[in-house]
Amino acid sequence: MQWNRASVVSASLVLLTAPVAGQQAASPGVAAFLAGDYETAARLLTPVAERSATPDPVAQFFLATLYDSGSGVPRNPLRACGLYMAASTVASPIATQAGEIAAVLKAPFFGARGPMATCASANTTPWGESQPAFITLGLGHWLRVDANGIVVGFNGSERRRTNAVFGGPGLRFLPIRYTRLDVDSSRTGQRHFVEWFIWHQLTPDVAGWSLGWVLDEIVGDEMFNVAGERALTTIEAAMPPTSIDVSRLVQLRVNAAGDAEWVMSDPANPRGGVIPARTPQ
Amino acid sequence: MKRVGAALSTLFAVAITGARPSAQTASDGVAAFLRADYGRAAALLIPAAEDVWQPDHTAEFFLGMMYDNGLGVPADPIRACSLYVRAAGPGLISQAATTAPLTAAAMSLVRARQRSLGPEFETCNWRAGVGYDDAFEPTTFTLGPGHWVTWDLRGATIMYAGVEKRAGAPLKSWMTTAHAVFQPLRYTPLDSGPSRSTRRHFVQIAMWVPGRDRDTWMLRWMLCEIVRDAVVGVTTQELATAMGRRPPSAAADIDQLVRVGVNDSGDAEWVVANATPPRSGTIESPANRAERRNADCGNAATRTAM
Repeated sequence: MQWNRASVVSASLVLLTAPVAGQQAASPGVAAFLAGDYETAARLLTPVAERSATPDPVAQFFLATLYDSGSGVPRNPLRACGLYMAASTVASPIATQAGEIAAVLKAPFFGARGPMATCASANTTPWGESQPAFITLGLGHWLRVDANGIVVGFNGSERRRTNAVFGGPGLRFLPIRYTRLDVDSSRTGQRHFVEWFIWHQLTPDVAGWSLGWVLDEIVGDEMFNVAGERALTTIEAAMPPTSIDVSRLVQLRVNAAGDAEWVMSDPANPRGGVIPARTPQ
Repeated sequence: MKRVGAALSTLFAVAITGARPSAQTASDGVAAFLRADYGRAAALLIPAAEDVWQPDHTAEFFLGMMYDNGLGVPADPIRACSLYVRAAGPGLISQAATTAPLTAAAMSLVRARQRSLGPEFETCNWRAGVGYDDAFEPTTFTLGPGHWVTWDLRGATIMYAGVEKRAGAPLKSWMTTAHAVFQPLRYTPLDSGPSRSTRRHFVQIAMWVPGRDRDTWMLRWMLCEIVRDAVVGVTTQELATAMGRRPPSAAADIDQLVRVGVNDSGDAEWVVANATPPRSGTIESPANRAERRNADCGNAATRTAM
């Protein structure tokens, strides 16, 4: 079953009735924000808003406005929405308006994309996205993953992947795996594959974490989705392991016929598939 | 109109303490708001948000939140909505791809208010333009038996021959001048004609409007005639200028600045006092004006404005 990176989170909102949070933690970031230095503001607000056991709603609110407008950070309405929603759950002078804005931002997602997109509380599911990477595929041919997304460079031009979601609420990305296969039968000779391994809690009947997998092929300046699995493996734990040997779970190789294929060595359900050759447009 | 009076006195209090509206006072105001010092936040944010010449959108946004939640100011959801509309102004006008962070947030709040306020959103939106410090007092003038006019900030309602008629949109658009501060309306009946037997009904509207330069104001004056069930614009003139953050609080003596009367020939006329070059005009009779019977204050004002 193919599994896309953007997937369902049932945003079960836990309404906290905590006292007004101490807004002192947000102050340096807010000061940078008010001075118009949005990059510094994002850098200072992020740990207080997203990486704290007691996130500051004011920091969440200001960080949300940055993601909503793409100021100092890449525009990300989904992340903005989650931050606004989180900010609305703790008593503060901005809580009511944060909730209203979250509702407005949420509407088009649910309308246009259905449950594919979600506005999850940043309290319960911190945002996760792919780690920055630069992979050289060949001469003048590369893949770059940065805070703005995924870019393929080919013959001096760059092409940004707008269809690939490389982050989401509650996701934990492992490093990208790049595999080059020398394929005899293909006109291209060399084929370039990248795999994304993502811990998530989106499998309905699994209480712990599932390791999602997405296989993409890069042909010229294009990137195609080849295959995906919601759960290569699962683990019952509060937090996913920090490292795992993914080569034990799935391999890419050239088969006897000279075709590229992926193979999943799950003893209970071994499976795989030939990857048809693509030619660039 | 009590609300306007309260807002005015707040503004004057701030002006007296000498707070200069600026981005820094807006930032200080936001900081005070976030540490729940709402009294200080209001004192800093109000002058920055209500600065006629250079309103601070950050101050507008957070002052909106204070009115929304009744923090440091009386809860007033409509006024909060107006402040969001103003804070969202740059985004609403340009639909720019790159939007300042609080502009985007304000736009979302405006969308939320469009849904939650229903018909009252129109009031919010209109007030965002005209402001809350207009000092306008709705006034009713009795012109004769069964003939009266009630003036409000959105136009006038005329009772004539047993029928009530609303002089609406064009008049409203003329009255809707951003940050205008009105003087009391004046009703001037004139007995004109060779035998002074024709009663004509004039209403004088005077308002301070912001000048182009900071801290300058102009006293704009408009003369309207009520002809049966219609409001007809006669002229618009600028009568005076003033300096200050706010226009003079004392009532302008309109009679010293412009005279509306009947000349020796029995014609109604207006004369601006001490004007160089002289400014005056004879007010044509309703019969001569018949072809423009349906003209409204707004259109006439445009034609005759200096």
